[in-house]
Amino acid sequence: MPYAVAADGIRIHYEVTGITKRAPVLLVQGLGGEKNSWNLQRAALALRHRTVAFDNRGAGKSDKPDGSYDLEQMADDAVAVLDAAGIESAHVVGLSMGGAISQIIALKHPNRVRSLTLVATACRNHQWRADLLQSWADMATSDGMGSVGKEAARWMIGPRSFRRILPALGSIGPLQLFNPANAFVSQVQAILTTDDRSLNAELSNIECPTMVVVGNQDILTPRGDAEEIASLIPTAELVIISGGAHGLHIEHATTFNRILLEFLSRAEKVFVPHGHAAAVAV
Amino acid sequence: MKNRRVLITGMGGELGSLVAALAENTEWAGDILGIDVDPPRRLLKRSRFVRVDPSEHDRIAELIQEFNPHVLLHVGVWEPHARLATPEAETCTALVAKAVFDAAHQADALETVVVRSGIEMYGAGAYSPDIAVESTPTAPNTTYGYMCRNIELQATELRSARGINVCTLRLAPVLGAHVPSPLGRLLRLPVIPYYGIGNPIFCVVEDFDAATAFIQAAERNADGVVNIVANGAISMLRATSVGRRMPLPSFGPGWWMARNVSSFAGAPMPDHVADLIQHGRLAASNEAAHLLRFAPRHSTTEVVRNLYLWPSIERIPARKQVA
Repeated sequence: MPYAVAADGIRIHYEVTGITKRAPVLLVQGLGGEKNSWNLQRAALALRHRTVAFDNRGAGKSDKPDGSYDLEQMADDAVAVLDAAGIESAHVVGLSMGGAISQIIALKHPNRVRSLTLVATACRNHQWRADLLQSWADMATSDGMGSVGKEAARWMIGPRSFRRILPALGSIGPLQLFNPANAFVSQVQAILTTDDRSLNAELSNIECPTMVVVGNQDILTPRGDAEEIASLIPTAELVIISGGAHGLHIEHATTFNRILLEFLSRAEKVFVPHGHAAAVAV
Repeated sequence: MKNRRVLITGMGGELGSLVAALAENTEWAGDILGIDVDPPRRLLKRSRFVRVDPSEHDRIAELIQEFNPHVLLHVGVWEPHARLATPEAETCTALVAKAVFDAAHQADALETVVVRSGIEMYGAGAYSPDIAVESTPTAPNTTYGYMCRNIELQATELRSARGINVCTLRLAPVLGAHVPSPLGRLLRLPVIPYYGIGNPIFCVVEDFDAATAFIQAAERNADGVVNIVANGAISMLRATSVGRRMPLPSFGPGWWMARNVSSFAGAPMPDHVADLIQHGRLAASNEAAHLLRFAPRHSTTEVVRNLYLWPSIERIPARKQVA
């Protein structure tokens, strides 16, 4: 079972699938999620890409230390995973909190990012969302993860699918079953303590091809959040999936995968390996 | 009229977000506060949003009294099966309306109130007129109709108690690209059930027109009831033809089955939508042009046609294209 080791010694579990020599894709999960929630994407990408999915610290099979986490540290964890997998640069796909981590990766390690796909995510901690996440953290501490999963379901799934509860299992399952409350709370704190103002100020520095994807029924990171990111990153295109909610990568997997593959194909065509342009110039 | 403090309930809905976006572009709106269970859908530049639970009566009242709005736009009405099932929609609508109107009685600065209602107020069937106008007696016969009646009663009480202008907008079913609508979902099904006895007609309104009506009513400090409907009408059979869908005539036990199948297919048919399909629902306005200087941009047929033109994937290109 492969692990990368972060700078502070924490073990980050990752898994590589797909074709070794193809363009690598790094999949970054959201709050409480684990790498298996990407299974539908890993299957779709398998024939065209080398896919690396990992569990953030505090989730899945990665270590779950007590104490506070922060998103910059989690971005460094992702880069440690790339190092461990021997990948110089990858197309980075981040979902929800993973989208915020991906924005930080693109800013701190631009040479490691071929393109950026930001799915159902935000670049700002609105007060209402901070209050909501804090209430989930409090609930996890007092009543356990099961109660969080139940409460979070309404925020993850569109109204149409909410009645057909099955798609929820992919998103909500990990929240309920596998993660200890302390790790979940630490991930929440990582989101809440992020300096979103300086993040916003820096987003205009991102120069790689970027795609922001949102479902028009997403209420946790609504369309307005995606519009804001797209307005701040000059190279960002915005894609709105009708009927999609926060868990659109599961709920609308076919549509999402098609959009993702098409974007990755375009982004790979314009990718110039780091140092290559300079070498050509010399 | 400048620097009006504007309170928008239901800001998290597509219609509420659109109303807020339009309010932000007016010269008269100063501070804008929105409350709702869900956050706003759109990118709002200068509105403040506070998430509330409908059961938090005292907190909602405190927020409103502290903000002390000049203008109250009460958009916070849950159409059954738009986002919530009928019982939840009914409860949330009633709780929010009670909290908001209770607080509105105490808000000193309040000058103008605009309230969302629906043409479901007029009822349907053998006892309703063919085309309802504002002076037509109301006779709601569906859950949503009763919900609207309760809101209108509270709005009327507020008008009497405070002597302020209250404009009640009776909206036709609102359709728009991102609006969760039970009628919209039904019309987008590949096979559309319609009531096989007769072919009743109905009218709808586009979300942008509905939102514009709220802003016009607030701007003109309108008082009274106004129907907000697109011109013209359409039948379910005609809609299936416009959308190139397959019509499924149903009646008797077949109608019961059609309702259940459409529910299973993700488009449940609450009683006001079933009633619309069975009996039609038409309204027109004698007041919109006069009171609000409002005319809808699109006819009913155009709104329904646009329903079928919405892309399932909307793409907005990057400002700087690199891929």
